[in-house]
Amino acid sequence: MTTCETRYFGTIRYDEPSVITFPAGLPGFPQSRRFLPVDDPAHRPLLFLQSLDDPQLCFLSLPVHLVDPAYRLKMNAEDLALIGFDRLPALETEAQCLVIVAVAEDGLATVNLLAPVVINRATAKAVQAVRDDMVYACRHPLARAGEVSLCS
Amino acid sequence: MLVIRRRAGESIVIAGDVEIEVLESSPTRVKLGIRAPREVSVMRKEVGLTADENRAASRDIPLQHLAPLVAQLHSPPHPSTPAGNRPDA
Repeated sequence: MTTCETRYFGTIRYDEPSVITFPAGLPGFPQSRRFLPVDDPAHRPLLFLQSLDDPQLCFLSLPVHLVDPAYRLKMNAEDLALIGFDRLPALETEAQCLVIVAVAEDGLATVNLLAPVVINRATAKAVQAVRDDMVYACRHPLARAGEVSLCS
Repeated sequence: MLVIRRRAGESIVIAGDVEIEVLESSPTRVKLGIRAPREVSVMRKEVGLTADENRAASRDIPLQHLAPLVAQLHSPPHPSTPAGNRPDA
C-alpha cells in the first residue's frame, strides 16, 4: 500500500493495481500519465480521477452509460493501439468508458461525450479518445430538471 | 475567413513559418501534411476543444456544488419524460 495526496480527500492509501495509466496523457495535460480512480460513497455515481503526478489535479467523471445508455463508442486506430486493443472493445466488459465532468461557475454541469476516457480493463491503460465526428457534444449538459436519472 | 482552393500536392504558408500541404484529396476526406516550428502547436480542432474542456474540468470544484448534482443523478425520472431505463414501479 502506498499513500498519495489528493485534491479533495487529503492523504489516501492505494495499491498499484488500482492505478490507471494514460500512455499519452490527456489533451491539455500531456505529462499527467498516472491516475487513481477514487470511488467516494458520498458522491456516487461520480468517480474521481486523482492524478498521482500532480496532487492538485483531479477530474470528476461519470460512467458514460449513466449519461447515455445508447452511447456508441468510436475510436481511431491510434487510440485503440495505445491502450492495447486491435478492434473496438466491448463496453463495459473489456473496457470501462467514462466521461469527464466540468462544472461552470454558475453550477451548470456538463460532460464531454466527444472525448470519453476509455480504460482497458485487462491492462489498466487508458486514453481520452477524441472522436473525429461531431456526433456528440464536448459540453453535454447534465442536471437539467427531468432529463437526468440513474440508468440501471 | 480566407478561402483558397488547392489540389493534392499544393501548399499554403501561414505567417511565413507554417506550411500546410494537401497530400491526398478524396470526395470524403483530405490528407494534410503540416510543417511548423516545434513551438507551434498543431492539432485536430476537436482535440483542442477537449484540451479546453479538460482545463475547465480541472478547476477546483467546491464539493457543495456536487451535492445537488449527485442528488439529481439519483432522483427518479420525471413521470412525463420517457428517459431512463428505470423499470416501472
